[in-house]
Amino acid sequence: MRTYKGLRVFEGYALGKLKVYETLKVEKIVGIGMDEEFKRFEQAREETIQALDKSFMETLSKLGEEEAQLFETHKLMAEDLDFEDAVKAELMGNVSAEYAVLRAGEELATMFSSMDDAYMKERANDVKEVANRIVSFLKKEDKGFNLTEPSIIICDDLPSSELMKLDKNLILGIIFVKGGANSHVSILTRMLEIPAICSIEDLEVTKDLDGEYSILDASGAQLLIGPEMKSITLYAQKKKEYEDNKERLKAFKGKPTLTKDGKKTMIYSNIASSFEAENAIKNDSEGIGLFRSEFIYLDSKDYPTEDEQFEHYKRVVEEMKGKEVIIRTLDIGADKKIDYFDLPEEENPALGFRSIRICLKRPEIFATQLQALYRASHYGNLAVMIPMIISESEIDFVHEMCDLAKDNLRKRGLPFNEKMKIGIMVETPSAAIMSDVFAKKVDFFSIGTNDLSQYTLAIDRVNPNLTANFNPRHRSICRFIKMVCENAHQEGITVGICGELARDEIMLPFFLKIGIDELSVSPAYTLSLREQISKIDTNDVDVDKYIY
Amino acid sequence: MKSFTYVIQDKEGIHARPAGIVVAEAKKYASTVQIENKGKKADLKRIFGVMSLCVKNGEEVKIYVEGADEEAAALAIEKVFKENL
Repeated sequence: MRTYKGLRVFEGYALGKLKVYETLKVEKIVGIGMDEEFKRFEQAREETIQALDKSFMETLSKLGEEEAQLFETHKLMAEDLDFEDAVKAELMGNVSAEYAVLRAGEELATMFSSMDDAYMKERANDVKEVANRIVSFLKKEDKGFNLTEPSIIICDDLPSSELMKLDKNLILGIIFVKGGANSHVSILTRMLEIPAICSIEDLEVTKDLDGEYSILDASGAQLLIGPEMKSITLYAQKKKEYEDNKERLKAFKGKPTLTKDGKKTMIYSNIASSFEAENAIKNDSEGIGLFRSEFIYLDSKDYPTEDEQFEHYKRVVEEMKGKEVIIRTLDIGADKKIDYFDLPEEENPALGFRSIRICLKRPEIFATQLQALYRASHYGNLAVMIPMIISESEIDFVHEMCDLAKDNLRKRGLPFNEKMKIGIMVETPSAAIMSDVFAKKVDFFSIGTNDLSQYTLAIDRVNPNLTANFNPRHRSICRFIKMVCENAHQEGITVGICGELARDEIMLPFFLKIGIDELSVSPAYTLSLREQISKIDTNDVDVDKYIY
Repeated sequence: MKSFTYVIQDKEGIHARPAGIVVAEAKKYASTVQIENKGKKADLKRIFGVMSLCVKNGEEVKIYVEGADEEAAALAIEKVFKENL
């Protein structure tokens, strides 16, 4: 048995034979004359356009207009004169039409990928896909790929038009060996709920993989080729459990989150990129409780501009269609390092120069982020959360910075929400102890259970010698949480819990009993958490057991 | 020559879908049609050209139409902008 690790596109399990989708290879580089090659190009382009019309209709009937529209755009790209000009220019070098089309596609893709706009950057893949499509017609290979029996598709990458063309009942799963988790075809795969993984190293897609019996464990982001009987039994069992579970949880979709005795709470999602908002919606999440804005900084080679950040924030709030989105401001430090921040090495990064402390020292970074956030507040229900707060003076500083950001936008004539909520993370013992005072100054609290446990217990949560001592259910922490919750409600503000402790089966009844307003977990756990909550009667919960 | 200005109302700016619609409209006419934004011009009959301008919400664009059917083309294109952007 050979095991390969990748990244998850969509969870689930598949057991069956592999079916190889081979990537186009252009061997023929020299052409048979410019005019002749151009005619071949025109012919293939015509066939591509007809095929795209077909994909458009298929997608329209299966997934709806928004998803289908992309094929219409692909068609315009195929017809475009700039594209044609680029092909002509390549053909001057006496190359084959196949080679010219691929080069022209790459050229235009580079134009998009160099744009300062996340949406436009993604269009680079569309151009490449269109070029590949035309090449496949040039090579007369387009009709080659089809499924005749239920199979797991393995490919370097798959054009989205190919995916739409296939009989979905025959696709058990997909492995995009070289694809990314947010490409158009990956997004469609998630919409279709097909188990899939991507980005696998050390695996070459060759014809001899065809027909190999394999297990795709998309939940665990791995592929097992040629498994033993033992693994097959194990994964067949996992697959059944997963599917039964999914079926059962469907009953909780679109329903409010209620305890057995009718107490209402909200389930929000923790996400780390704007692309994951789609996942939150799909899982029926009621909002975003923690959007880690660091990823924008981590993905960037230099400080991200206001416009770049704005695009990401706007995308999430719009995707969430009016549901609350809580974005946490920059939370980095010596343990989560970013080169261009040029932070010094530290003996004790958890207690060091990090998050809001960096923003205090370097307000220009914070100002850019706040302006981007206020701008995005115009497009949906956005709230901002500040990490690592320990003192009132920090909260005052944040409010001053917010006023400056608002002034800035007013001067530039840009719309924003004057009343955007500003909350804080309660993740230090200091913030918990001072929560009665802080509650008067902010719009909401969110308890970060991981850091609060680490700082309260004075235990490094990654120290292997102390794993057994690191108990986030410790009574000291329960006392803190209860106190923070009471202080928040005293001042009429909401309090949430973000961190995986939110779905801990022992802690959950306690959280519900003390009246935590919102629990924020990974999107995938939304429905199972809603089911879990529906079984808890808060009248049966004894809070004293948690704190004495 | 005919020209008109328009401020983009669409929240996403001129993204792929409406770009496709205006390009398709412009292609119906013999006149040359150009779009200008932030000092850069592009051919409104070419989707790559239009998208490369990366026009955002709230920005102003100026459209120039020149040719035998400029009158009708300018009217029709302006209508398409108003309806889709």
